[in-house]
Amino acid sequence: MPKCMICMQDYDQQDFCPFCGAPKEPKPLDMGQIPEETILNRRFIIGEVVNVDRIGFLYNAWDALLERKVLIKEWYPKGLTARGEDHLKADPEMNPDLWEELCRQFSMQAERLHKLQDLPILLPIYMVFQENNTVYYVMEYQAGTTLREMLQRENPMPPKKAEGIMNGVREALAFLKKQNLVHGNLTPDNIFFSENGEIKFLNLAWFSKEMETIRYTVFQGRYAPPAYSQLPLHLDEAIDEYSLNAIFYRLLSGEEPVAAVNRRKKEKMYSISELGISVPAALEKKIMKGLGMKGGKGLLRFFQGLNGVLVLAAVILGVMIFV
Amino acid sequence: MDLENTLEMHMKIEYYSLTDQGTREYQQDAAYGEVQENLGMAVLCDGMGGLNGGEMASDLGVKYFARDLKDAWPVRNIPAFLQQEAHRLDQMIAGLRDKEGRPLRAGTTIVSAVLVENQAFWLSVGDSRIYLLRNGQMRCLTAAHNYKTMLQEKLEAGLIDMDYYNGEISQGEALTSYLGMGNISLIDGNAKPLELEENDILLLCSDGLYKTLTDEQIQALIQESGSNIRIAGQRLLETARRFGRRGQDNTTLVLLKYGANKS
Repeated sequence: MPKCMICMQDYDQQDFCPFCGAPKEPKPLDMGQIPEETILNRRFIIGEVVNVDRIGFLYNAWDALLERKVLIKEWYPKGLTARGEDHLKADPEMNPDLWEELCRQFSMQAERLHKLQDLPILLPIYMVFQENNTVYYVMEYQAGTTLREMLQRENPMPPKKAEGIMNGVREALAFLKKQNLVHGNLTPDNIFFSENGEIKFLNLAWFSKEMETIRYTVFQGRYAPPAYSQLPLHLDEAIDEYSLNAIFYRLLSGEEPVAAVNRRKKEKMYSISELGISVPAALEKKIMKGLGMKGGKGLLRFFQGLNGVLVLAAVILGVMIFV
Repeated sequence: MDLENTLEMHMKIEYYSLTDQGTREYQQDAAYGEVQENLGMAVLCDGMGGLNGGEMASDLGVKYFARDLKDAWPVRNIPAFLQQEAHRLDQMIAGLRDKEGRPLRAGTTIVSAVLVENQAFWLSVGDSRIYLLRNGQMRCLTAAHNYKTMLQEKLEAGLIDMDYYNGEISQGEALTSYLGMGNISLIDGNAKPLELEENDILLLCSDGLYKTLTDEQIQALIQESGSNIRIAGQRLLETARRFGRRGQDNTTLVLLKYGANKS
């Protein structure tokens, strides 16, 4: 009986899954992912890609041994590797020794998180294994949504809703801090809301000498503080604090923040109000300050509202009368 | 200063136990355990017998075992104590009477483990099991005292042929030794201590677990729990419930971990 590679239900219908409506044909391999129905570790049947980020692919999968749905993350850093002709083997575009070392470190990071399964703010990692010249880790499947997916439905977010979400994220982050952990890679992709409303963090950062050369490839620069451009890299709370402000900016403005390192190259990042979005001035000031920018009301915002236009008209009229 | 001694790791024993009645009318499993830093004991009984006989047998088996061990502590010869205790409990349970004074005809399996620093001693009567997980490998320490084991031994010794074996195997689950038989002859245990290594995990369980999940599944569930025996126990029981949704026996498990003391 075929298995749906999206919802993992067994069915005998001809062309589509009667449970989720997905067509029977496998998805094209246009993202470079491994084909659906591939069996990994003689146990996991790979399903559809549910997310792809700079670290790699996140697949839905079926654990044939324990008969359950799981999530599998594949180390496949963006732009640094390709697939071999078999569509499986990672073919890194770098020195094989460096690739091996990066795989080892990714594996170590996953093993470290595997030991932290009692932390309710992390999705439990069941196991780590190597195959196809890369590394995979298997996570508990939980129904839910990432903050990025929420933004796809509502962008920008109303300030009240955004504030509620950020308060939850801050609380979860405070819990992480209590465990002496720093996330280091907070982005809307890495904040997951489970069906019961719990916040879970994905893809915690890890640093090493070898990672320094590829840090912008793997970690989302738009949410990383200027410290990411300094070597050696250190994971500290300031990194998460910056990312929180960047995420808050993203929710309220509807725009991706400009990476701190690019802003230095004079790429302009507009404040939230400059983008025509009304938020409490104190909140905006706080966010923009957290992003290392002058916050608050700019001239543009002043003239953006109707009142501003009226005041401008009055000023021009006054000048004309005076002249 | 001796650097090796300075860095010597302090070890401790952790204990976690869970039980589930499943879809049965009675809960005839019982378990108990205690740990004190580098000492630990656990006992699990799976009772049998009509009305509440099995329940009483397993409950008393656990209570009396724990009481007797405490009373006798410190025990010099733990293997001998465990053997004697099995005989004592067997007699005690065989002597149980109902309200009218008639023999209760109840019985129970028993598995127990006593851990003293890095040494483990175990006991088994019946078909409950003890598994040892070490370095990603799992093995069952106990042999089932049932008719199937007896048939297999006879088959291997050439005392019976395959036809006889196949004809009898439907009765294979019948126990050939349990507490309450009176005069039990089959008692398993280790005369030499099992030397424990860091992160060794002992799993004691009733047949509700291993008849629902395969050894491979049990091993996978424990391994994927990152050495956290609380998480391992919960996942084992949850998975057993999920696999046995059409009718699940009483299921009880005890996990003991010998690991580094992080505090």
